[in-house]
Amino acid sequence: MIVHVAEYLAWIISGLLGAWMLIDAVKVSREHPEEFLTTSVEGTDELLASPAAEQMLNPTEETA
Amino acid sequence: MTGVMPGSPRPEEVRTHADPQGSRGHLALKKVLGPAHIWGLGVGIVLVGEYMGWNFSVQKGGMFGALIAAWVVGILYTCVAMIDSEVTSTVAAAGGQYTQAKHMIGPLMAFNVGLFLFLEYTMLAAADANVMSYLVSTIATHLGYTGSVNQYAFIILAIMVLAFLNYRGVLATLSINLVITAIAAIAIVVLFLATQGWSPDAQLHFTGLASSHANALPYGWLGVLAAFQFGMWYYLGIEGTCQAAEECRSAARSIPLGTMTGIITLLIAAVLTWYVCAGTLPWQYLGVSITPLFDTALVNAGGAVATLLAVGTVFATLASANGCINDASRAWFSMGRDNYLPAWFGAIHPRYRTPFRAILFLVPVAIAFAILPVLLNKPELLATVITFSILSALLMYSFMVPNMFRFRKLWPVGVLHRGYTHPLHPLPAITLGVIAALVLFATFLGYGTTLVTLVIFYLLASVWFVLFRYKYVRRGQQFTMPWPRPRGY
Repeated sequence: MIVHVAEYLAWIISGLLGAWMLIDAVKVSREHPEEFLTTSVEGTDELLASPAAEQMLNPTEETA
Repeated sequence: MTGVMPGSPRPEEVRTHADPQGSRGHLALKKVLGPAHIWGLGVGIVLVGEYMGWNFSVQKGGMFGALIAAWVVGILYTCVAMIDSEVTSTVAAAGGQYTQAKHMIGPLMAFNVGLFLFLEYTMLAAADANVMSYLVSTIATHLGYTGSVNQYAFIILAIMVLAFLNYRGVLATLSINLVITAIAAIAIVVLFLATQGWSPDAQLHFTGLASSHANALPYGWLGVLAAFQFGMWYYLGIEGTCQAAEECRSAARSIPLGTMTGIITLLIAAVLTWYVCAGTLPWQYLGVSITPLFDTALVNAGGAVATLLAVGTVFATLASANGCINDASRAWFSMGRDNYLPAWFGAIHPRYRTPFRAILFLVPVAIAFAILPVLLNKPELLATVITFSILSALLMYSFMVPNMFRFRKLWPVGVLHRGYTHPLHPLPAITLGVIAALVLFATFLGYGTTLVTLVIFYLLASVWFVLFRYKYVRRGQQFTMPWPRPRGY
């Protein structure tokens, strides 16, 4: 009996989580332009940062 | 008052909501991880191999064959950890070895390495979810349930819950991984103490092992070679630490620390696991056992220790699936970001700062491979799914050898700041190449058809990439690391 309840719970929780993720993904995609969502660039590291690196990552900063 | 009020958002969260593009003017993954998270990610993916799987090397090569496999394959993974620690300490980017290939070799190699990574971790996550449903069945049987448990329900639940965690944020995901991995690792040490492992004559019995060649090396040195394939289970996945580089507060510090302490943990755990199991169970049984550590605890310790090992088995399986979903999604996301795949996959969630579309994409893939053995009523397909993962990993290790030589040639020590510089170059790279070739040969002996199938798949994928995808790759824009010009260019 407990196993059957656990099985039903597993299906319900899986369905809810899946639906939540899908709805949220669609919502985010509608609310934000694609150019914004895909703007990420490879990371930098504060231990590796250098003026040259900053210039490479923010080329417009100097001219602004 | 300088402190943060209880319940109020932390400065970083305020920055996230107020300025989701971050201070650099672009959406970025969240930099919140430290060395402990990296340890939890790497060891978490692997430790399930100590709880189940490694013991099939006993079936192939006997007790000593399994021990030799643990040592030799341990050397392979120590080389992997050293090389990855050095290269990734300079590449603070998601994608790990894929990003290394992109910078060091070229687009076609990078595409293949990205696929190796995605398949390695997705297949492993699928296998973990399948095992999780088996563990639920076993627990139900131990509690007196006589019917059959619906495996589909628990396979899908495991993948959905872990995907949801990954979707909502990397800090919580890997913090949970750290805790459950630590508990699973401590459980192995507790078993060693409970069996009085420091005194080999107390509860453990090695007399038969030492005196009988038939017990120790039943199939001779060919058996030892065959055992290498399953020796991979002791360590498979530690290289997954690299995938989190972009989310570390400092990749140069966290990746080497987390990876090297991770491989040290695994080397100790592998030897402890072999030691307590070999001293408790006869090799004929150990070679086919599904849960060798739990069985050892039942036979030699019982009670609370057996319960702890049962919990450790479940936690290790969950941690592995969790880490694999994290890593597979980062590899897929990175390829999308560079246009190696549709750019749609390279999106980041503006609130949770996770690669949400890549996470969602791998859910049906993982579920499909996890339920396949159940759907076709062929449990042996699970071994094929895991072999896909192992072979993809081996192909990637083969790439790491020329990659390391090229990295040191293009950016010698001193030219590029490294968080960690591994010693004795080129010895680790050469050793890695030789042992990886040996293990590939051993795997070919056992799963030749699977290996050939996989190689054909990667060849066809490469043809697709060259003909239909390469034109979208923006070669200039994908190199964003702040590195000096490579030597000779």
